[in-house]
Amino acid sequence: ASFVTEVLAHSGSLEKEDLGTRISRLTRRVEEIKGEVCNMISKKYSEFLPTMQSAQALVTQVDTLSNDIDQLKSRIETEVCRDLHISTVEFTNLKQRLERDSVVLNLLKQLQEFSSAIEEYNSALAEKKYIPAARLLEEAQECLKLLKSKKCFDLKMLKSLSMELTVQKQNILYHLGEDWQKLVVWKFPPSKDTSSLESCLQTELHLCTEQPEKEMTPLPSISSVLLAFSILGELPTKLKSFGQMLLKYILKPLVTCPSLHAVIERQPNSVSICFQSLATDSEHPPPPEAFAKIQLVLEVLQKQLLDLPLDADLEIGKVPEIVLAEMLGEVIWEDLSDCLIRNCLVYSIPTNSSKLQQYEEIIQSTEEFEKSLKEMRFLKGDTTDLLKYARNINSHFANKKCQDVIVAARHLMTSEIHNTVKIGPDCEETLPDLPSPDADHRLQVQVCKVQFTDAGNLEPETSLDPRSFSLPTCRISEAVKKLMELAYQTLLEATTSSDQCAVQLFYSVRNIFHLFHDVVPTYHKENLQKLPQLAAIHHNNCMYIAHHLLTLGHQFRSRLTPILCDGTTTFVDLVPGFRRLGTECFLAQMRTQKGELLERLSSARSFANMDDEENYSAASKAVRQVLHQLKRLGIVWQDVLPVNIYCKAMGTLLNTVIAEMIGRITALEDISTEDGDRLYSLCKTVMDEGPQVFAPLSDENKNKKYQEEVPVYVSKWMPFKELMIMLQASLQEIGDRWADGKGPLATAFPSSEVKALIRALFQNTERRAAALAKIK
Amino acid sequence: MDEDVLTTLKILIIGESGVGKSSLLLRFTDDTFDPELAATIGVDFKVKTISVDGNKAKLAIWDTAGQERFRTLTPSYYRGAQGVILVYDVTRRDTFVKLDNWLNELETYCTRNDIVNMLVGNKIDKENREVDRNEGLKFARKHSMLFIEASAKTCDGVQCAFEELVEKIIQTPGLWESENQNKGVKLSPREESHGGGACGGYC
Repeated sequence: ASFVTEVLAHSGSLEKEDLGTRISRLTRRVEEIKGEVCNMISKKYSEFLPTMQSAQALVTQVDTLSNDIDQLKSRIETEVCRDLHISTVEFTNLKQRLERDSVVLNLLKQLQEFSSAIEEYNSALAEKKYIPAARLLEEAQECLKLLKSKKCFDLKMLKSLSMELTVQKQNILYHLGEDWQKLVVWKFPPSKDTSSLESCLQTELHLCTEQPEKEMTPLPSISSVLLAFSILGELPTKLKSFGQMLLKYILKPLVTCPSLHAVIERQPNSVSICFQSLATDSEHPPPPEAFAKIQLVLEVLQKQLLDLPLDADLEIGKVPEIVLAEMLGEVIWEDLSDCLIRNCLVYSIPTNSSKLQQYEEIIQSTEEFEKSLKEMRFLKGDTTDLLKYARNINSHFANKKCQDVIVAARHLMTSEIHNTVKIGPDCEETLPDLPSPDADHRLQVQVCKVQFTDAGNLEPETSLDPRSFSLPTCRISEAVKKLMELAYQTLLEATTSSDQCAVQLFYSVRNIFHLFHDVVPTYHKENLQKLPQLAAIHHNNCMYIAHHLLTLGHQFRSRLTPILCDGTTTFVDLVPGFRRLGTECFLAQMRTQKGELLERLSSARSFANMDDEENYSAASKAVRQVLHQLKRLGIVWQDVLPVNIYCKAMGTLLNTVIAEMIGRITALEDISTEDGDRLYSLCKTVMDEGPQVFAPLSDENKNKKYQEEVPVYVSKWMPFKELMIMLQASLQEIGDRWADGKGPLATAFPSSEVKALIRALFQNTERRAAALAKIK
Repeated sequence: MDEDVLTTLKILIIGESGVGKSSLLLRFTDDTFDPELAATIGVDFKVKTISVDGNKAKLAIWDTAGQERFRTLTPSYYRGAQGVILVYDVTRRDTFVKLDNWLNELETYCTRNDIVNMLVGNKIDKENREVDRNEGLKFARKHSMLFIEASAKTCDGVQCAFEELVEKIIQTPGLWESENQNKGVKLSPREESHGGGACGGYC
């Protein structure tokens, strides 16, 4: 309707005109659509439906077919798979069987190889063809090894097989050993002792080089034996034992005995090494000689024994290259070089630095020796033990020198003290001539002198005794003098030595003195305590050494190596120690003597009641004993101690005796006239004989001087004299000696003691009282 | 006889070895002379009482050893000495030259400074004189010493030497009086100053 209204609205009059046309057009149109719909309907029902029906029928058919396929498939799967598994298992079994069979076959083959190898070996061995035999045995061993590697094999059989192999191996080794012994024959001395020359002379070594024709069973050559050993792996042990024998019986004797020489005897079919003795005076062979001897022996060995097998071996070319010489060298070299160093090179080290230059020859010969050993392939390229040792000569020299010095010093220290020599300013000094100080030094001194004389005479009018600084005459041990000479000589040596050596030598000398400090008092301890003479000599020894130590460093200062010239080249620091060592020893001896003197005096029963015959004889015996002891000391110290020390020592001891007697007598409370007389006679004995113990010099006539000087050395001498005077004096005389405190009695005793003595000596009288009153 | 003795005086005889110290003493005390007298060992001691101007004095005379080797002993003898006789030999100049040393020793060891010294030139009986009398006199004056030349052999001057020495000591009151008073009693300040004055007078 809207469409119509629209059309009516828009068309107006025009559309009215066309209405007819339009209706006709519309009618046509309807007709067309009518046809089309008819067409459509007929198409649908007559064409489509039958097709549809056939398609459905086909679907049903396909369904059944696929069902069939499924069924078939499942049937195939179940049935075919089962069959496949069974066949696979079967196949595997078959395969295993095959494998086992092949293994067995293999084993059997190995066994067969083994057996044939053993068989062949046996025949080879019978013919003494050692090399093939050894190879076969090795093959057999290889087989056995293979067999063993198969675990599944019967163990029992393996065991017996390996046993067989071992037996065969031992067998061949035995045969080889037998032949080796026939080829290399040692002849030893009957005695076990290898050190003696005679036994060495009986040692021989024979090496068979060719087949002895006459023999029934020809010997194989050394080379084949050695190669067989090598194949069997026994070569190192064999060579080792051979090397050790070689060392023990041939090389070492050659090095240690200078008179022993190796002799090489060449016979048609053998070479032998034996010894001969040539007289020689040297204790140790010079290195070049020892080198030559060893080289000779080794050359023979190299040619006859060690060189041969290689060529034959190389042709076969299966065994890795072994240099027999090298192997033997490895075995013996360490010991040999050690032996050479210790028995030969050590002794060739010079004891004197001046011979150090000549040592160059030895270094050279050592170098050549090592070189030739290398050429013979005994030594590997880098071994230079000997040369290194020889090149290190300076240090060896220093070590040896120092060791020698210390050993010599110690020997001197432990030798007897009582072998003495007299020393002193008058005695000939046997110390080595010391080179004079530097020329420059002397020049300076001269210049100074000239200047002084120009400036006028400044020299003091009274000069010191030229011997003011000398050691007083006394006796010292010969050994100590030698010790000092040794020190000087060693230092002299140091002045011409290399730096290192000089330092070592210098400190060796210091060590000598340190050693003395420790060794002598310990080693001689008992004698030094027991024997006063030894104590005195030891005292002198120490003072002598200290005396030299004062200047020793200074004397060498300018001539030692600059390293040492930093102010440490001194011995002065040792001086106080040595003086103490001497004085301590001697003072200990003095204390001992003093103790003995006092003990003897103690048997004098305090010098009381001398009128009793027994007391008097005890006292007089004690006094005689004491004087005897002093006299004995005076004799053993005579000519030994320096005079001043002698007098001081004897004076001190005599003073001890006198002081003890004074003390005892002044303590007495009552002295009868007879007591006084007897005490006086005892004192008189001491007074008369005491000075006689002073005999410092062996010339008896010269000792009077020292006997007169007794009051100087015995401080109680004057008091003792006063005491003696008092024992016999009258009151008047005592008074005079006292002299108002200005007489000698007053210097000798305090007034209280004098008064006590007067009371002991005199009856209580008025005169005594008067006399006492004067003593204030 | 001791009762009337005024005082005891300590006299020391010193000098070089062999100048005649012991001979002088022996001549003085015993009036003897021994030309072969041995050298003194250590020290010798004699007592003699002497009368000077009516005063009796007891002399304790110490005769020391001149030899160098006994020199270590002498210092102790100097203690308390009031007079010293210093002897030299007029025939040996060296003994005169050494007098300085002796004076030095004296000064070192003497315990008091007012001690009286007497220089004696001995052996004037001998002909080979080396030291002139004037030289001795000059030396003595220089060192404020009494001086005399003597001969122990001929007895010349010996007695005189001792007497003059004692006289001088006695004239020096502090020298012996103070000592006497020293024993037991304390010195009063007045007496001390008196002693100082005496010393001044002597010098």
